Amino acid sequence: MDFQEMIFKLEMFWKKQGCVLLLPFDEQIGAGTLSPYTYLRALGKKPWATVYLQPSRRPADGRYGENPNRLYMHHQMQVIMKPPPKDIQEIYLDSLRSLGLKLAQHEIKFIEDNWETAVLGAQGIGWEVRLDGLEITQFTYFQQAAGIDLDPVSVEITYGLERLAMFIQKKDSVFDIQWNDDYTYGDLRKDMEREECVYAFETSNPDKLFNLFNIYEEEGVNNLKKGILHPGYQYLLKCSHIFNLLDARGAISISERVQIISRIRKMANLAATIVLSKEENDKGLSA
Amino acid sequence: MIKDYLLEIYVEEIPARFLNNAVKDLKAIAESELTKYNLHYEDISTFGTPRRLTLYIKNLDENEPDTEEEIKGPPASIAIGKNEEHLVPFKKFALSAGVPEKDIYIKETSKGNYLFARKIVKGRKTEDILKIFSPWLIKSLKFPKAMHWDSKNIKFVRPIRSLLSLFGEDLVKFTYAGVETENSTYGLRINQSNKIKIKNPADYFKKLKENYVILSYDERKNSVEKNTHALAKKINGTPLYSNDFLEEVVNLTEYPTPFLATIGKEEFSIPQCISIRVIENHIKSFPCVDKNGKLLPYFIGVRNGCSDFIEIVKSGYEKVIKARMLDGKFFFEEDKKISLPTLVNKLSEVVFLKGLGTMKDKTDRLTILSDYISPKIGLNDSQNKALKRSAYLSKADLLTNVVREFPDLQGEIGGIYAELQGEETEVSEAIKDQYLPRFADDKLPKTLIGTCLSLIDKIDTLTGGFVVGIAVSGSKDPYGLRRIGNSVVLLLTSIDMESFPLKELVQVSIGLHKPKKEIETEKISKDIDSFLKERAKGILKEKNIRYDIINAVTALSLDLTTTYKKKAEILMNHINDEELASIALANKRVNNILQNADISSKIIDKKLLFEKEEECLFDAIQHTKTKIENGLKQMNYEEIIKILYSLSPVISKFFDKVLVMDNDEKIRKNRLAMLINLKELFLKFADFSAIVIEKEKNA
Repeated sequence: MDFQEMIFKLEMFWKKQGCVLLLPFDEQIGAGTLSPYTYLRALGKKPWATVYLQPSRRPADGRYGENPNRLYMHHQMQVIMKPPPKDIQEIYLDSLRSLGLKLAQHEIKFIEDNWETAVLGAQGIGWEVRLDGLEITQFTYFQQAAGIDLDPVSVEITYGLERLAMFIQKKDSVFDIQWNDDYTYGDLRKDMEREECVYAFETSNPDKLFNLFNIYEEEGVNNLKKGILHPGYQYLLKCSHIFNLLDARGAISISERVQIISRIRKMANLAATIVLSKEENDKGLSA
Repeated sequence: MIKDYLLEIYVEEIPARFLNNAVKDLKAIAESELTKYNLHYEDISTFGTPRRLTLYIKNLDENEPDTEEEIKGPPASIAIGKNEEHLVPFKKFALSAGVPEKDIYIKETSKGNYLFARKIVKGRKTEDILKIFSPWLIKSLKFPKAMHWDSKNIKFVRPIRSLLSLFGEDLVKFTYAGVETENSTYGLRINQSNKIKIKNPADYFKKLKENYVILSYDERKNSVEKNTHALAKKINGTPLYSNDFLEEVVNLTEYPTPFLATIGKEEFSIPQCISIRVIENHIKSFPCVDKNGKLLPYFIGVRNGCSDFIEIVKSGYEKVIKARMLDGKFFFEEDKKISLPTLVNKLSEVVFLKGLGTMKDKTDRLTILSDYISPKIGLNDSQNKALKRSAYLSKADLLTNVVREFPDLQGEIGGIYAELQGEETEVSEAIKDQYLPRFADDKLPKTLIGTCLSLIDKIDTLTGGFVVGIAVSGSKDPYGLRRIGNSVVLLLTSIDMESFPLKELVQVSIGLHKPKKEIETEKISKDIDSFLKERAKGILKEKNIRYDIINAVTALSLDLTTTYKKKAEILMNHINDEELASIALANKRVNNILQNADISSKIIDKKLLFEKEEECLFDAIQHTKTKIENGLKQMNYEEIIKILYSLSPVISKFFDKVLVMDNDEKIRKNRLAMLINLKELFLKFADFSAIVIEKEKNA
């Protein structure tokens, strides 16, 4: 099964489970959780179910396209269901079967892995799912966002598509994955990987990045304070990416790191407040 | 009538680290809760796998027995009329007791005659009790980390997905966390999860076995250990694992099947300590070493499942280890590019403990302490330099990629980098060993410089903790100060010195933390003194030293910590000697006399010695004093015991013939001074008066 077929299969599978199929959010994003489709929707009482592909950039993980397993940008398939169905683990395993995996021939382990995203004040309890020792999915029940206990909770399932594809296609290097019959992953992505790494590790200008961070932050905070949620939140995403770039460049001292995280966290809290008060108002209207 | 009861809580995967405690707690809670009911049972056992917690009560009564209760009513005088007729209070009492009037009887009490009735209280049906008992049990089971998944009101370690509750063949109905009990469960997750009908508790155990679930931790553990060792034997190796790690691996499985897998040669070119962590942390497998402790290019994985298709699973693991080893190699290579001194400067950004500055501050303190400790422990100039250098570089590795990835490699990996960067062997070895010993039977630093580094590092943390007022009490010990204290004692025990100025070292170290007042320094050093004494006692206790011997040796100054263990062991060897009993008694006697005496001077006036026996004792004390001091210097404790024994008859004769409390004040004081000298002589070795002798025990 090629890479694009896997994407279709998973999207179709979760569509059948009642998830709305969305397109990748058009910002540079570090993890599917940061997408407004997850973070902003996990807050509040309203039920929500979605599946979307999210290219995720982790500059520090980049290896110039030379490491067979590590990437500057990889692809996550993100599923959110609020509230979680009772047989969600079984449904998830079915999704693996939909990719042609015969689970009886393999080993599946759910190993404790509670995750935390400091910049969002979010935390979840769950596992990393290992397929014959390979970590293919983060499976998490959100417990908190913006420091607020969630009720109902959402389940978040994040597939690492490259790893899964390497497993299914029996490839030793991510760049050998068949994207379709004509292209390999390397054909399509290797140049970008290399250049992004050159930028992140060598040519980016930390001073300018710090400036950008300040500008984006100001614009974001100003708008969030006016209750303009989505544009404001998008500046949070920009700040988060800039932070990751600076981090990869080794330009952030440990004390600065704490401080920058708390600045982004502040924006996340502002955004969360807007979402929750909107829901409160809607309730007031319908009552 | 009796039946077995079985409760299974079927959940999504319970974290391995919580499982064994949960199984223990479940049993304890069930036992204590059952005492609230009048029910007998033969035995309670509990089991756990990642997917289920199971409670099994064998031979449980089907009913509580009926009980009879005597109820007191109104006085007969107001309840019964003149003609023996039943008045209103009589009727009311019968009604409220639910007893026919004819069954009511009169009994004499101290306050006169009263009406009484015997009421039969029907015992409850066990099934009804279980309907309350079981949900309560689930609710009472607490975990270090629990979660919500459905309702805000329910928390459990992981979502509960099915409940099995069978009393004999009968389903005990209740609902918890939105889950209704059923008479079915699930086997190992292999392909599709099929519900398995369960007839009764015996059937449950049988069916689970058939469906690849081994309920008992011990059974899973034994199977893993046995098979792992057998596989390692095939490659002439031994598997490497701690008990905690074994427990984790076992508790990731319901049906463990170990398998042997290989690591490619090319991925293997990183320090062994990194490879071991990669194998353990990233694929939860066991590394194997040859008989020289050298890592072999194999590992043993443990599949959760049977051996069908295990070749496929194995090749998956092998691919993962390859990728992870490459990562390890990448981190290692990256770290090698940065010199340790560069990292030392960056330590000023790493907080040590709240209120105690940064790791750079700690590094600076350690350098100062290096200079302090070197002459005390007899290091020459070049050794002093090496200690200082290793103290300076000791914390640099906290900022390396490898330590960020595998925190418990701190120290070890720093030593490796130091070696690669051309530091002297003495320096790199000391850095490697700086955290040793971590626990009682752990390895000790290989070199004296390593011992010194580990010691000053721990003293610095300990005094720092006390200076900022970190409380250690009961179960509270957030920074592990007790463990650090234990290590200090273990390190000192390993030093071959008749004494070591620990008290002064503690004071110097406190000073480096700049506490507010002079008085504070004094109080803190006193607190640390008694804290370390307690640690020393604990460690000797673990070595199976008798408590009275422990008291005898730890009565001596903390500066003699280096000798506690050796002395205690010698005393243990002589514990049955009559001479030991007699000098213990003599010391007690001396103490008793001195306790009530007014003593002003230790100086003995030879002219005031009148009796032959006191002259003998005087000579003996003078004569042995230097011998004992020499023995202490040479740490020849066996010899000292002999010398002290030789005093025994002299002391006996003294007490037989000489009255210490003479009426003449001068003579009395002179004799008391002699006793003080005698006491001090013994106290050079231990407080013999603390030793409990058999006669005392019997008395």
